[in-house]
Amino acid sequence: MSRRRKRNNVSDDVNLTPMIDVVFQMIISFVCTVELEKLSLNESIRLALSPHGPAVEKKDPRTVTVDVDQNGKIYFGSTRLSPELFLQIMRKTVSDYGQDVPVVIRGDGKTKHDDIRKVMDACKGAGLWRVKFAAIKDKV
Amino acid sequence: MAHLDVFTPSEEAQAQKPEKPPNMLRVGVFQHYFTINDRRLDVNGLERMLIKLALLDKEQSVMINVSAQSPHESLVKALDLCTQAELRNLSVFSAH
Repeated sequence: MSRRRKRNNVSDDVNLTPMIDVVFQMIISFVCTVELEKLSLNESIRLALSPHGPAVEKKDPRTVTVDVDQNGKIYFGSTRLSPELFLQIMRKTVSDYGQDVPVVIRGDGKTKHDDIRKVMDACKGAGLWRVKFAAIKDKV
Repeated sequence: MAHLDVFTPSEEAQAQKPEKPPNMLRVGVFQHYFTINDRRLDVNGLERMLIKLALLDKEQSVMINVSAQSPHESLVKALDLCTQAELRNLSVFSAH
């Protein structure tokens, strides 16, 4: 009788440590990924509203995102670029990944179209044709 | 987040010529107003007119002419209203 009790006690103890380890690792990786994504976006840019625009469901991993602020300055992440340097980078992108690389222009709503056009011209000059404008779908 | 496509002409697309000349709608985007076929409109007028014209033909080409000084949000608004009206053949060109 005493033997049977002892055996049951041993089988009831489930070791949760590996599961907790995995859960913590997943939480840490999600937090780090979100932070990196935030860092790559220029938060001073106020995107225009497009309630009827198609929602972004699947993003091509090759997508190049370029920011254009209210003053027409071009940024790659937090790095400011001249239109000429941007053109050179786009040419290198085309030589490495081809002409069908999508380019997302995150232009501030107040940016003059002339400044957005410079980025579009650089894309066209490099041979890139999949150009998209980023916009906000819903008001937060 | 939404991504509004503004494809620039690829070499393949330029090689393919349309069989017949398409119906064309000209939308102008300016600093404080819009136009449709040279008729001046505000944003509500543009919305109404695009919906009305889209009922005739959703496949008609829409040429969006954007003035250099117009704010980017006006172009996004015009593209958004075209999407709302289910107009699919959109082209954007910039006026200097």
